[in-house]
Amino acid sequence: MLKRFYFQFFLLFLAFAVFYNNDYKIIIAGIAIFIVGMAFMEEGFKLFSGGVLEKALQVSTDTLPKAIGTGFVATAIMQSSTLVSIIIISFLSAELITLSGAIGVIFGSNIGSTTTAWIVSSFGVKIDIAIYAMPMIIFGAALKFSKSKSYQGIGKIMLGLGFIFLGIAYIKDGFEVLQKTIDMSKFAVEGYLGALVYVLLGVVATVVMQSSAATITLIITALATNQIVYINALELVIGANVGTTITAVLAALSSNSNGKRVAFAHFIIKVITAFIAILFLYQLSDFTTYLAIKIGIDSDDYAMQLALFHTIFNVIGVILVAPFTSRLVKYLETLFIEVNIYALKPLYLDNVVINVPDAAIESIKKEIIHLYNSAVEAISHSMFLHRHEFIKSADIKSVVKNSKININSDVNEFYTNKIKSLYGEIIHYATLSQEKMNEEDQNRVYDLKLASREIVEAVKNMRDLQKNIYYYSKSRNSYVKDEYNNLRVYIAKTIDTIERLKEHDDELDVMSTIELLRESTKTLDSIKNSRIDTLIRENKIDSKMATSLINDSSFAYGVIQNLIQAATILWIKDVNIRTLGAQDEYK
Amino acid sequence: MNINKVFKGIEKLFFSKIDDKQKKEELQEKLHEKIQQTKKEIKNAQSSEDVENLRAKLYILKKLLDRV
Repeated sequence: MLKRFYFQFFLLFLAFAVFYNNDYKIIIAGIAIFIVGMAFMEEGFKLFSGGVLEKALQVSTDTLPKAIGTGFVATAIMQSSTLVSIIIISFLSAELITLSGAIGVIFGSNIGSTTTAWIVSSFGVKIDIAIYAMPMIIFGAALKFSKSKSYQGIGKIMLGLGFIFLGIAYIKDGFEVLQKTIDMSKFAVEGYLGALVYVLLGVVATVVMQSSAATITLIITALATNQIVYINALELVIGANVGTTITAVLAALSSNSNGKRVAFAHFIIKVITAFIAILFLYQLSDFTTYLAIKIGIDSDDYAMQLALFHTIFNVIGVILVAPFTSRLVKYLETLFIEVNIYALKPLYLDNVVINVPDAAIESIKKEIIHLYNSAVEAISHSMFLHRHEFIKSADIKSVVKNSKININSDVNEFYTNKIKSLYGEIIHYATLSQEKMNEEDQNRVYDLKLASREIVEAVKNMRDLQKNIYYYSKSRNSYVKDEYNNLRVYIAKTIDTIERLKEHDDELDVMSTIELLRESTKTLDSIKNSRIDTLIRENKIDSKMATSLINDSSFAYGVIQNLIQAATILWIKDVNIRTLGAQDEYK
Repeated sequence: MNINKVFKGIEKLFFSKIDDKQKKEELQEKLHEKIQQTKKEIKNAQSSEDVENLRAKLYILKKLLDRV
């Protein structure tokens, strides 16, 4: 019961947070902009599917060392492991890259992110990516309107990056007040408890500032002013290293299960690395000091030593976790399974009876009737009609004429989210059941499979029709409006007739009704449709309307024929009677 | 089980044609009955709309009979 109102509660909570405090408003707006950016990037990368980008990514991530190298170089150039992991999540969501390749890139990105600390410690600056946000959004928006798909793709990626940068900038702004209140000296504690406190502080500071580099800058400053001791600085760096994954987790919220897998992989790797670093903190610290002297870093140059420590423990982390990549992939694949919550679930496909031919055939038939009923519901709604209004109605024409064009239903969405998966399950079950059947039963199942295909085709044909039904039903031209109403009447009559014959026992009567229906809808065949010809000749509809009408008549004819064919298979058992139907006209 | 298959094969080879022919004849008979019944219904129909519908049905039944 409460589940239904989760979203409403969430909206109320958001409204409260937004109006309660201005800083919260900026932070939430930043997150919203960030998520919009992610969506744009995904769309952009999808436009490149099958092209050069896919090939380049495949080549650069097909082996673990190559993927690590790619991650390292990309992060070193972009100066943000967060950004690289976000891009990788959108690559994965667009299925341009494999999960193991993505994890490899994340490994490389972990090492690449340590270059930021080197730059910060060497030059004391961090490139501010937010300043690129505005130009990216401007050029991205301009490119989005280009006719070329490649430019559109680049435009969307730029828009996405721009929004992500802008979002991060907003989040940072919102947290600025909090940042000022962080006084690290307050937490100066020695021993492992102190270590945990500082690691946690590093995590929080990085989440707040949305940048591990910013945290490291803060740590270096605190160290230089003796607010903290060197070992605490190392612990803060470890925390900052974990905190940087939170942004990627945030990005994964809007992506598919693949995106979630890579974000979680990123998180696991960082946590394992942090765990090892904490466990061997003193040994690693000594090793860093030893190595620093060897490569010529001054013993009092703590900033450089911190950068070195950051690099060492990330490299060790990658070395330790990389051999288990394939296991990690398997684990993540079972942890996040793609679940379509809107998908129609099979109601009758029982695996217990799959090897009992008669029972299996009956369950397949029932399931296809379930598919049929759902498809008919979607088809009716896409014509802006409710089934209870026109089925068994004495005057379908009036029902159609008086219907309100306001049912919120997208048949394309219905096909993708609901029908496709159930159809797949029916075909899978039917194919498995055929294994132990005799020829006659196999043929019956084959026919049933054809019926399910006809139903799916009907929905697909309706997909093309829905947009124009909506558009022309609101037209001022009464002729075109009438013609589209006529198409709706034809489809509604077909559904109504099939519904009536379901209850009929005499199969010859059913067959003759179906044939009559088939005969009466032949006028919809675009070439034979003299009504449209007359409207064109008499200038009652323009050329655009005429072409739409000719095409849509053909789609409507397709929907009707698909439904009739499915009904014939489903509700006429006698093969001899069934084969009498439309032998030449429709096959 | 294999013997059953052999028997079924033999049955199909020698008797299926006879079986099919019988089924066809039965179907033709049923359709003839339906046609006669519909003709009677046309005669007894009260509205012109009913007559039109029944004539359409008669046309289809005859078409189905041709297909048998």
